[in-house]
Amino acid sequence: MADALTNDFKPLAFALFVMIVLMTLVISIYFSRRVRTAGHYYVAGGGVKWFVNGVAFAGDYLSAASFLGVAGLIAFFGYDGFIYGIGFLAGWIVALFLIAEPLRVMGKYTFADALVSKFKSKRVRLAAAISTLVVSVFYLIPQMVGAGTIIQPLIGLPYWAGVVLVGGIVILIVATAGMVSTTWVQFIKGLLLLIAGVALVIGVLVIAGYNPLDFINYFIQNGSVSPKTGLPQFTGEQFMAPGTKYKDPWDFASLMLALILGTAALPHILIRYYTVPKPSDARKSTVVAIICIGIFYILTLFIGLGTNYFAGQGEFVVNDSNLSAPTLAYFIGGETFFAVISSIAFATILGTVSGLIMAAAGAIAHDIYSEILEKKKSEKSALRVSKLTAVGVGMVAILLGIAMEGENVAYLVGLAFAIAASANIPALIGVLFWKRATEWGIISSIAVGLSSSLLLILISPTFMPTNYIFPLTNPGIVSIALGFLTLIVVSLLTQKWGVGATKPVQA
Amino acid sequence: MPTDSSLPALAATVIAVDRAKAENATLIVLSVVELTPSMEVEQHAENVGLRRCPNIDGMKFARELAKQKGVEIEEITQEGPVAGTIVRVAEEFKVEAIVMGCSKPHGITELYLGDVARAVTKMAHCEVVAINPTETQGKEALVLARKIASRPKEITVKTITSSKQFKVGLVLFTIYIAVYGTLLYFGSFDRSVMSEAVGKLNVGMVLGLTVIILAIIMAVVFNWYAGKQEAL
Repeated sequence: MADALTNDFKPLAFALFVMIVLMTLVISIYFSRRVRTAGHYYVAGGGVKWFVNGVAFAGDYLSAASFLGVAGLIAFFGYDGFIYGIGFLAGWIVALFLIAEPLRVMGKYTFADALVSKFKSKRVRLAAAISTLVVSVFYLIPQMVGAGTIIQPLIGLPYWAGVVLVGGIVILIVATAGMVSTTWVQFIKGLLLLIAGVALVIGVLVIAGYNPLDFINYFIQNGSVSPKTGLPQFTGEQFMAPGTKYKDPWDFASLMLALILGTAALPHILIRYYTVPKPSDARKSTVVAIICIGIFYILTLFIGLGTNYFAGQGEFVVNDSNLSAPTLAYFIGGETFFAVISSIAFATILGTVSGLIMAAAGAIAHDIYSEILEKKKSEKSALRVSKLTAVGVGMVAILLGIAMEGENVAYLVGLAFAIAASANIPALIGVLFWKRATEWGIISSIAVGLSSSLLLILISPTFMPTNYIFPLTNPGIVSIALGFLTLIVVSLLTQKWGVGATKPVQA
Repeated sequence: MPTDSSLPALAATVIAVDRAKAENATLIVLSVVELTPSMEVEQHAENVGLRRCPNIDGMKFARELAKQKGVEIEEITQEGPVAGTIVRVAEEFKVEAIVMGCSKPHGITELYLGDVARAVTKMAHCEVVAINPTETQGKEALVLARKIASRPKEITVKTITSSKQFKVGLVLFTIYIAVYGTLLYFGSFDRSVMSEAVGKLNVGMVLGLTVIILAIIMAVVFNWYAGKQEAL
């Protein structure tokens, strides 16, 4: 019988892990200092800044879900896992062409700012801030699950300890400093992730002895095994086409809809898009990000298939789908490569978690504390509030992360995307493109989108495996539609009745 | 004189304008745009650490103050590493002296942000006047700046959908959605098509890879087009 990754303490892996995490931190501090105090950039004219930013965007986006989750889903379910990569990338096209450019022209930086620019309303701001908070927390859960999973085989600590460790480190960083230049961390991480991905894929193809096309063809011809047992699971026709995980066609459609609309609605991604001062640099960065992310998802296809292939050859078994890529790395390059891959995954999680916690902290400190409660007097007190929020959100994420042990992280991210798309996309589209959208139309679309997506997830097979009330695992197709419907109906009603409708402020 | 709207920079502005008047010199005001992306909370923490006043436009303050006192000024905005840009601009204009505020960051703030005044002093080949304002000096500068250099709060909402670049984006977007929609339709409701062979692959794989590669191509094309528009 083949072996699974053991959960014992691996000294070499642990030493490498500590070294990589520390090096990332030191390098990021060094670079962020240089930006202010150095005489020249190390490259003439600083011409590569948009490249650095672009890789950092990609680093931010390629969270634990992509590396651990998507590869795992592909290993276990083939095409139904690959669709996550396709959808995650497609979301960037929506962001680039439809949402981000108009928002940038408007000069608005956060979801709430954009909505409030049209309706000078505290109620709209509150709705947007709550939605930002909920989406951030939901997106944090899979990151925490990823952290807990990866820490087990790496250091031999139990699952919950990994979750607490990541949560603790990030809370400490954000609460004490709050100004780690996440960009450099994300840049280094993004670059390492791509290099590691390429190395893994080369390893897979060389050891298996196939070229890329023939490797895909192998699965179409021979079908797949279950990486858990190494025994045949799907025929080639099943494995390399939709329907292995999402048997209900509507479930597959729902997932694809949530994935393409979710990215542009994620608060921490939108914020990043606006952090570069020049529009042309922001656009170039986005293009670099799209290239990196696109290449990465093609790589994950081979990482996933590679895991399945070698499990089928009896080389190893994988008990947890999230551990597919790390197990494959252990097989290809031994403990050292495994440590490198795990450290990158861990750094990925650290980076994403701090970005999310900052988005949530911003929602509370900027939108609720400064704008809604009008406590604008002191920047210092607002900073204190945002740090307290960071601690609070971090603790909630730790608890939820512990509760969701064992779920595939890409699957969980798919749910977060559905919530984000349902709550935020109708409101954003309404503000940007529909003149007749009213204040109450926007508020109720956020409320209905947010609550319906949350409720549908709670009564879906994810939380009620046998007695589910709502049959689809991803609520997107229903809750996004409900959000849009509410926006239209309420806007039209409040216009006609003149109740609560606020005239758009024209400049 | 470099400014970033921080309290020490505002105090330095007052002193620099006075000195330029006394010496009948031209005041060159420099604003360095930092290129590191930073998120809201990071920016917030940085503002607090460096005592920046986000509601005040430092350039406008220098401009208005110089106008009041009849001092000739030149405004320059550049991007790059802050300290290096300050020194380089000083050399280009062969300035007599660099007058700047020192924010004196300490602890973690200094670790992350570094001390620009110290770095400039080290690198510059001219006189460097670093202003470490007293509490009264700072307060006075701030009161003055609030009066004449507050940033306008309202940002206008423009009609964006009519811009040419956006329309091109919309066309590309529509093409992409059509391809993604095709994948969604067959993947959900006509699955037998997905497993039909196309060379060594099947329809599903070809469509999936196409959607990924198309995204990359479209992003590159849009960037090329927008770059061309900007160059016009």
